[in-house]
Amino acid sequence: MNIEDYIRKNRTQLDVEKVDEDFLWTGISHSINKKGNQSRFLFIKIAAAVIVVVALSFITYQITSLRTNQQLILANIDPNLAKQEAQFQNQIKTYYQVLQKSNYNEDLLSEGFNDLEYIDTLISKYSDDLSTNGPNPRLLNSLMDLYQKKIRLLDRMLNEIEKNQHYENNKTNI
Amino acid sequence: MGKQSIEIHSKLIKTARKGDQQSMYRLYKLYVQAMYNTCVRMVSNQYDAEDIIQESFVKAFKNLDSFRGESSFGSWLKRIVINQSITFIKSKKLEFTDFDNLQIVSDEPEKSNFPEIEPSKIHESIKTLPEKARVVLNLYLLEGYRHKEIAEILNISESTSKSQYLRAKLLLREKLEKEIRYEY
Repeated sequence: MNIEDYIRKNRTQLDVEKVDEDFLWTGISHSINKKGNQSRFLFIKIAAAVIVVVALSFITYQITSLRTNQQLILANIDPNLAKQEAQFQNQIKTYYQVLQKSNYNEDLLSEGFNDLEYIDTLISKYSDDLSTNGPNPRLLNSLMDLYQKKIRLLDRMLNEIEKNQHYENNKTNI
Repeated sequence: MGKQSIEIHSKLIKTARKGDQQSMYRLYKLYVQAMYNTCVRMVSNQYDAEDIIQESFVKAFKNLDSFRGESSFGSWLKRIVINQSITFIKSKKLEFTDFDNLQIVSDEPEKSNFPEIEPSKIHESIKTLPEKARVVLNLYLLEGYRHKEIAEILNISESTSKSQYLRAKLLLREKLEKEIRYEY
């Protein structure tokens, strides 16, 4: 059997990489909702132009405020999870610091900031549910999952910045 | 795909068209892994592939009305993923027309009895091929496009598509043979 036949025969087995389905879905679902609303409310598009001006200053505010939004909500529920949460939050804090130091392009990262805001809304909602209803394993897992999604998202944003800087450097070198 | 699966798909597509996100999510879960693997082999970067997959699914769900059922939903979706991948690659200013200057690689007879190798190694080796050759190999060998179609999509001549494919095949064979030697 030659290489072509061998690959064709094993075609279905080549799909070996696993993607984080929930992470990608967060972005897709967010975009679908956002775009749906945009088509329904045309005037929002016009208002967006005004919002951009506000958003630019808001983004700066976000970086400093988002990281303080999360608190060690699990400390009273499960010490191990609280420890894990503290690690996640430290990592998130470090990413924000790197992000702040980088001279990033707001337009490039606007989607990322929107997604971060969306994740923070969910974290806040789950935290409230935990306070109201007490420990719930499913809720705790979802919360941990959200922290990991936030870390991955920040990682992607930093990667975007790096790629963009690399591209800009190449352009100036040409 | 069995008759039952087709019926389930049709129902999901019908409700997704009405904006039901639960149906969209189920369709997404059914196809995301296969679509991601196709995409990551094309663009060879995890982050880019994730972005493209997100964009592709959003595009598909926003344009479900244009899916007429003439092909399977998976094939329709894969077309979108491949088109988005090619648009991305082109946006990186990769000039496919450069292919025309390429000399046709000699197509010496293939050695038969290609040894057994793990599919994951093939997947990874494809990702390391040079971009132009990789795109053509993916489209021709894995996605079943004909050279004529590839030529149209990439705006190159059919003979360029063929020569890039031969180049990709030789490089891939070399890489896999190295892998095998390393294993033993």
